[in-house]
Amino acid sequence: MTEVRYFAAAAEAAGRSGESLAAGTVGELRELMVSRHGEALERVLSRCSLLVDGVASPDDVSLDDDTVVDVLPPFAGG
Amino acid sequence: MSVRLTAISPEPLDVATHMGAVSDSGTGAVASFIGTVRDHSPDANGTVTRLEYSAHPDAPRVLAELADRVAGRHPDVALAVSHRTGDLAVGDLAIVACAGSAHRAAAFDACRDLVEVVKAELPMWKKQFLADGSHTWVGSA
Repeated sequence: MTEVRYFAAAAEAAGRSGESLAAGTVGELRELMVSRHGEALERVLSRCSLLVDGVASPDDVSLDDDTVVDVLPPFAGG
Repeated sequence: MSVRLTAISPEPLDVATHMGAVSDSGTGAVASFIGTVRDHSPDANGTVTRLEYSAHPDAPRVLAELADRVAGRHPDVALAVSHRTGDLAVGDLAIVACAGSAHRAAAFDACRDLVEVVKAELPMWKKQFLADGSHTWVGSA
C-alpha cells in the first residue's frame, strides 16, 4: 500500500489529511484519488506535484509497497 | 558567507532579532524585507480579513537549505530568514528576511535573492479568509 499525505487545498478537497491506497504507478494513483474524491480533488490535483519518498515524480514512476506520496499544491509562502 | 538564522515560526516574527543576527562589527549595511498580510489579493474576490499559513513538515529543513544555497551565491553576506505559520491578521508579519554585509549592494542583492527563492520553493500554503465568510487557497483555485 502507498501512504498518501494530502496538504492544504488537496487535504480540503479530499476531506482528509491522508489515506492508504493501492496503485502500481503515480498515474494510477492520481486516477484512484480522483475516483474516490471526485471533481473537487481533480481540480486541485491538476496543479499539484506528487512527491514519491520526497522526490517529485511523473505519472510513469512505479510505486513500491510502503511508499509515501505527498500531494503538494502550488507553494504560496511569503 | 553564512546563514545565521532560519525558522518556521508559529509565534510573531521579530525584525530586530533578524537584524541583530546578521550584524557584527564588520557590517556596514543591512537590507531587510518584511512581507505583511494585506487586505486584498488577485486570487480573492473581496476583502481579505485574515490568513492561515500551513507548512509541510520538512519546511524547516528546506528553508535552511534554501538559505544555504543563496548564501553560496553571495560571498561575504550574512543571512537570516523566518516565515510564520498559523493564523495571521491583516498587517501581521508573514516573512522577515535580513542580509548583512560590509556594503549595501551585496546586502540588497542577497536579500532579494533570498526572498524570491523562499517564495518559489518553500513548501508552505496560504489560505485566505474573506469578509463574506468564504475562503480561497492561493495558487490552488
